[in-house]
Order: sequence, then C-alpha cells, then structure tokens
Amino acid sequence: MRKACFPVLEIDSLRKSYGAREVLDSVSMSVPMGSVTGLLGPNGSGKSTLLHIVVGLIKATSGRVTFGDLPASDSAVRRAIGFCPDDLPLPELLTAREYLTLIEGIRGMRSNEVAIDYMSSGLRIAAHLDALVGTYSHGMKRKLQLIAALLHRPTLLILDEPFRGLDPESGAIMRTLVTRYAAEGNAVLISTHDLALAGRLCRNVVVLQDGQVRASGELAHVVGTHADLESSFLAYTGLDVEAEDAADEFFAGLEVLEGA
Amino acid sequence: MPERLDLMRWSLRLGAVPVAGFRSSRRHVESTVGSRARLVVLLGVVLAATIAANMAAFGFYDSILGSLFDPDGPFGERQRAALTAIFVSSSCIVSSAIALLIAMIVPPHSRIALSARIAGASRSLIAVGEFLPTAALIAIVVIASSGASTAVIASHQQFPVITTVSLVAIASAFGIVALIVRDAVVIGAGLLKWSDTASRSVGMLVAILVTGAMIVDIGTGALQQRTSVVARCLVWLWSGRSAPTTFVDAAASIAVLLALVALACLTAAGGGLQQPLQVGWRVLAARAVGRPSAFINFVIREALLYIRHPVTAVSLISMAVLMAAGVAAARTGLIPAEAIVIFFAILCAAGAETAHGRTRRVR
Repeated sequence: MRKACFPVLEIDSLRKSYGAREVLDSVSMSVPMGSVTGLLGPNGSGKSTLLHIVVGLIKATSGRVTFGDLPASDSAVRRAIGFCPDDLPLPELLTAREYLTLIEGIRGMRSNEVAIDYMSSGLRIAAHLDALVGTYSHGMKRKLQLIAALLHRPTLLILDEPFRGLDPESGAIMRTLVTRYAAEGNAVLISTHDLALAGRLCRNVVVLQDGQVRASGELAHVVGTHADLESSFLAYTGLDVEAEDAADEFFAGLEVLEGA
Repeated sequence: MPERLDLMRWSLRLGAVPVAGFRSSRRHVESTVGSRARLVVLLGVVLAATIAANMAAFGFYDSILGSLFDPDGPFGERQRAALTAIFVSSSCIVSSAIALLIAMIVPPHSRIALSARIAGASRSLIAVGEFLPTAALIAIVVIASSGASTAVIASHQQFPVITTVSLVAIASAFGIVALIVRDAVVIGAGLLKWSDTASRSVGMLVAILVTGAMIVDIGTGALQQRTSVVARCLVWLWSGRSAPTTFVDAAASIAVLLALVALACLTAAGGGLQQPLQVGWRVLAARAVGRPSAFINFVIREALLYIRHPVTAVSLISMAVLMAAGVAAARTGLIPAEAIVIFFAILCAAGAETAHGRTRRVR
C-alpha cells in the first residue's frame, strides 16, 4: 500500500465569478484520503469549474485550496494530482503512445513503455496505442485520459464525469479501478450525474447547486432519513418539486391534445 | 546524482512540448498535402529547387554585384553601404512574408496546450515549447530563401561567418516580428469581442501593411540615396559596421532576438487564435444566376465563393497592394520589369494555393 504524501484536499470559502455571474459561492469541502468522494450536482451547478480551479486550469476569485499544508498552486501539489477532464480536447494528431509520452515528459518522467502497455491492455486499448487519438471513440478517449492521469501515480485522482458515454464493460472496469485506487490509500474525487453509481462508489458526497454546497459529508449522513441518495439529492436541491411541476406542465399539454 | 536527475527531468520537460508540437504540426501539414509520401516528394522537390535557385542566384549576384562591392571599384563607401542595406532589408521582408505564410499552414489551434496544462505544465513552458518548432521552421526557410544573397554579402565582409549568422538571425527575427504583429492584432481584436475570422483577417492585413511599409521605406530610401529605416537601425545596432564584430554588438543583437522570441511566445501562446479553413459562406444559390448551363453555373458559384472566403479576401487585397507596389517599382526603374512579372506570378500562385486549400478538408 502506498503511503500518502498529503493528508487531504481542503477547499475553503471558494468563490468564482465571471463579471456579475457567480459560478461558485463560498464553497467549502474536503476530500479525505483512502476513499472516493462524489461531487454531485445538476448541469451548470459549478462542478467542472470547481475541479478546474483545483487542478489550476482556472483561477478562483477568492478562497483557498490546500493540499496538506501546501496551496494547490504549489508544484509539488500539482505533481500529486491526476486529472481526467470531461470533454476537453485531446491532441488528435498525436498517436495515443505519443500523447502519453508527452504527458510523461511534461512530468519529467522517462517513457515507461511496459507500464503503458499493461495499463492500456487493462483498459482494452493496447491494440490502438499507435493509432491517432483523433480516430478514437469517446470511450477510448476517456480510457486514454485515465491512463494519462495515473501515469505518475497521483495521490489525488480527480475524474470529471468519468462514466459518461462508457459501454457497460468499460464502465465496470472504470468502477473497479476507481475503487481499488482509493483502497490503496489515495484520494479520489469524482463528479457525476449518476446518483445510483455515486451511491455505490462514494464514501463521501458533496451536493452542489447554483454554485453553493447544499449538503456534504459521509454518504449515510447525507442520505439521512431519505430512501436513497437520489431522493436526498432531489430534496437538497429542491429538484423534487421542480420535477413535479415539470411533469404537471407536460401532462397539461397532453390533456390539451386530448381535448383538441 | 540528484542534480543529474533534476537535469534529466528538466530536459524531458523542456523537450516534451516542442517534440509533440512538431509531430502534431507535421501531421497537420501531411493531412493538408494528402499523405506523408506526397509531403516527402514535395519537400524533395522544394529542396532541389531551393538549392538550384540559390546556386543560380549566387552566380547572378556574384557576377553582377560582386564588382560593386569591390573597394577599388566605381562605387563609394556610401553606395556599398546602401547596397548592403538593400540586401539586408530584402532578406528581412522576405522572411516576414514567409513567416506569415507559415502561420497559414501550421495548425490554427493548439493541439496540445490544454493537455499539457492538465499535466501540470506552466503557460510559459507551453508557449515556449509550442513556438520553438515554428521559430525553427522560420529560420530554416529563411536560410533556404535568402541563402544566395546572404552568401554574397558575407563573402564581401571581413567576418563572413559572423555576418552570415547575424543576417540569418536578424531575418528570422523579422519573421517573428511579423507573427507578433499579427498575433498582437488578433489578440487585441479578440479583446474587443471581434469574431475570430475578422480578428485573423485584420491581423494578417496589419502584418502585411507593416511589411508593405518596409518595402516603401526601402524603395524611397534607394531612390533618395539613403539607407532604409530598418537598415539604419541595424547599422546603429552594429555601431556603424556592416556586421557585429564585437562581443557587445553580438550580445545586443542576440538580446533583441531573444526579446522578440519572448514577445512572440507571449502573443502566440497556444497556437494563436486562428480558425481553420472552412467552406465559404453559401449565400449564392445556383438559381441566383439564372439557368445557364450547369458548368457555367458551377464556375460562377465557385468563383464567388472563392472571392468571399476570408482568407481569399485577405490574399486578394494583399495581392492588389503588392502588385501596385510592384508596378510603381517597375515604372521608377527600381526593379526590372521581368523580375516584377515573376513576382506577380508568385503572387497569383499564392492565390491559387488558397483556392486549393479552400476546397480541401483540413483536419
């Protein structure tokens, strides 16, 4: 088992605004080691923005992100984080092997062909390593990004919508990987819409809506008296009422059709 | 040992982005040309033509102009300096034009910047890494295009090697300046919320105008028997000599070059803000020109689409400006009419290339 270099990711009073538009509003949360933490929220709730701030792709308006005692902008922290983005473009004119060599080079590592072969074989893309990334399907790109994110054995693995668009086999492989990586003593933070999956994978969850944390803590604590994670998520976000209203409107339309 | 390891890590980090950028750009050009085999054939032909052209040009320059550089010949010191200045300025202008052409063939958007950022590379590392292959390409093409004139000048200077190196460096720097001008305008236009197409078009136009201004400067300078502003700057930089002969002069030249590269890195970071070539705006339906034969209909529609394409529009405007300058130069006797005809042929060929590019699907 690997010894963790940093105890935990801490996000404190994080704000991000674009002009008058507040995307994140005083977000505070933490990610413990040795477990999977789920970042849940509807579209536009600020999940990806939050993750991009943590990995240093964008700057926060105010607030602090620390990993152990170090700020997230510290180069040692950057080396301890692996990030698998959602829908950010890959270098399509490089082969997968060249792309992984680029990532290793940027991290100051020599290319480790054996490790790459094992990892790509495990994710069922070994036969396509010398093909251009531009020819990859969505699922293959996700797998390639996962390998790139794990090549330096990060202490914190961040995955943005990792299961979106994956076929059942790939989804199962990805779930197993995530669980085992966390069990090795690393921290894993995933953002996902799949509440059933989050309920199975995550020990801790953070519910984000309109840039604010609606609930956070251990899964059992967040679910509370609700039947399951989905019910509690809808209650925390107020989307249960919205869902009822939307259904009422839709059926009103159907009734109009029947009357016509 | 740890220091050696750190050095290795740094060399890996510094080399990763340029290597990936080169591979990505090479494949982009391959897909533009059609295949790797075609690119190899094309490069072979270009290389052979470049060597032949440089040998012919060297023979021409040396036989016609060699005696003009002779200290015992009919030309005085001032005339020889003016002749040298014209050669230097011409190299700079050619390299600027080459740089803009290169900017049109390299990938319009960065293919690796975002992945590199996610992997932890700093913006400056990415900017420098992505710019290095372009800068190297500019230097290579500058050497290829101005090899003959550089060799002629260098062979008549006291320190031929230093002259050659400094001329290539300065000419490359001017190419980089052209890119900086273009990218600075593009970024400025982007900040003003202009569209990508408008930003790129205006950026190219301004860069071409700057180059045009340099042509006018050389032309009027030669007619008025004075050196051009560019040449005066170089002469000032080189303390009145035709090449940097002291350590301070060379250091100053290199400092200017490095400053330009740094500026270019800042403005060209992430591969610039161009858009890839796209289909022209389809505003003209076939029926708008009546019901002529299908072939005539096709030709008219394609011609109009070609003219309306942003890249073509820029190309045509620059062709008009350069042709006007060429006609003026021919009428004043500054440049032989035959040379102007060849120049026009090259300009028209550039337009044809744009038409070819417009009809290709570029990845």
